[in-house]
Amino acid sequence: MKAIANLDWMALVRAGTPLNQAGIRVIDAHAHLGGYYNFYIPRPDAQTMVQVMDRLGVEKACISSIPACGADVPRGNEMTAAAVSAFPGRFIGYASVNPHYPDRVRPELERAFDKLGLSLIKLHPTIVEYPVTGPAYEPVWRFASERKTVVLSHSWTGTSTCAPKQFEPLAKAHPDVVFLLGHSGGTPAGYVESIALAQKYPNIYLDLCRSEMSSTWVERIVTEVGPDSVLWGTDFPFLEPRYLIGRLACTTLSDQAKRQVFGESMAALLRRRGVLS
Amino acid sequence: MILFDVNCAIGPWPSDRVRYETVEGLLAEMERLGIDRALVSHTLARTYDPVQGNQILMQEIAGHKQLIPCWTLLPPSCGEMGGVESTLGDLAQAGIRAVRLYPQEHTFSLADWQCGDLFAALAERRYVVLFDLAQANWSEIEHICQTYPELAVIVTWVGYRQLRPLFALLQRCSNLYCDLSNLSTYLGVEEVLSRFGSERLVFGTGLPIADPGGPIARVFYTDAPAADIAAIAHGNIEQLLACVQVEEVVP
Repeated sequence: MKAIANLDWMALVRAGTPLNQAGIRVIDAHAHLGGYYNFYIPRPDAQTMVQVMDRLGVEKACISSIPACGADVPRGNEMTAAAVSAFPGRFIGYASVNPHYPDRVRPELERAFDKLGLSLIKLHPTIVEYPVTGPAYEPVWRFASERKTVVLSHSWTGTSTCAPKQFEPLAKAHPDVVFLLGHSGGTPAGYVESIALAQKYPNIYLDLCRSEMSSTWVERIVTEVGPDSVLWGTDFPFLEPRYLIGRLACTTLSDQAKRQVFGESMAALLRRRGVLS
Repeated sequence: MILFDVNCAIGPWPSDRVRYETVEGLLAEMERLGIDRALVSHTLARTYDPVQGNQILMQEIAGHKQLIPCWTLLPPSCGEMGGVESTLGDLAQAGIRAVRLYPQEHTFSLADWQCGDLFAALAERRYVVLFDLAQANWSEIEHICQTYPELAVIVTWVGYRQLRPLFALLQRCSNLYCDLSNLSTYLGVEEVLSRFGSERLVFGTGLPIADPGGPIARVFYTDAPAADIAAIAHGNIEQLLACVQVEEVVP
């Protein structure tokens, strides 16, 4: 269906219309795959996720499996790759590493990119309890620079591992690496910190993936950073993407800003990085 | 489809910038979002003084029939709201059918030695009682639901990590309900519907502190029979409020 200028977003939501049917391109920049020990997640498998994406009109989800984020990185990267390969065009895979084994970091990234077909990098410094500024991540920045890829990292203000301000020296030292700050720092204080960084460094992007972010904060982040550098993400299948759809769709942001954040900005970034043609 | 928000407030909020503070602001937001009715508390009853906050609420929402007052209560131990019978009389006189408690922030226990008389009196009149999950642990909620089965207990702002205890209590306590303000586990609503039916869920937003768009999309993107959606959107809370026996104690 052809895109409609200045869409009535509230009518769209109240009709439960899949977003792609209204001409909105939706790419989930921050998603996962699989269950988690800490709480019950119904049907977190790839096939069910694709069914949910179809229902909601989500074109692609950029995923890292839950084990890849910490519990078992090699197994997790393989799990991510299996989903990417089972559903062509629907998933883009993040590769992850375990910084506690520095010698394995680069080989695992090479295996993930060159053999498993993953094309982005995901770090979760809080789960692995290792600071994003630590030396074991140096090979990650070098690899990301060589491959011109995107690094999504969990970010949370007040932590010793990945507070937004810890990304400043990294963004400065590696201007050709795109750093995507997952959760935009996680709290209002973190949003303020993340906004300031994204305003200062063109290679810092923010995502809206958060269970408790108010629509007022969504509007502030998008307005103050600009919709080119803010990406829609869901943490799916942790969080229910319907909530994240409504949170952006029902804001007072402009039609164009919503479209950019929902997917056009991520598509442009992935094209520039050679991940999308 | 009518939307009836069970989790809504007016008033200033100290720790963040909110979309509105006034009744006019709430009404404009409800109009923009297509929310028809709301159960409303006053933030000052939470962050300043429950007695004064409830009074201010009544003054500010007067004349707006789509706004249904929800008082914030304290236990009777210090007499701030009078004794239990006096509190129940005040509730009845003001036509209040739903109340909120903040035991964590207001520093009291939900145990029977502190709140038992209050809960017993509220249960006798089939009141609707709301808690944010951060204010009461699951065992406290279980005890209240089991000991006072005539109460309708709505737990709000549940969060996405809570399905294990939530399902155990929905199974065990037929008077427990859950709002949609933050029931944000992936497929969590679908799972509740398949296990417990639509009668245990109620629409709520957490306005103005929380985001209203998520719960709205959660309702309208749910693939369920229209009767189930209507029950969640407004029917269940209307039924619960209709059961409250306020008329019988009007002085």
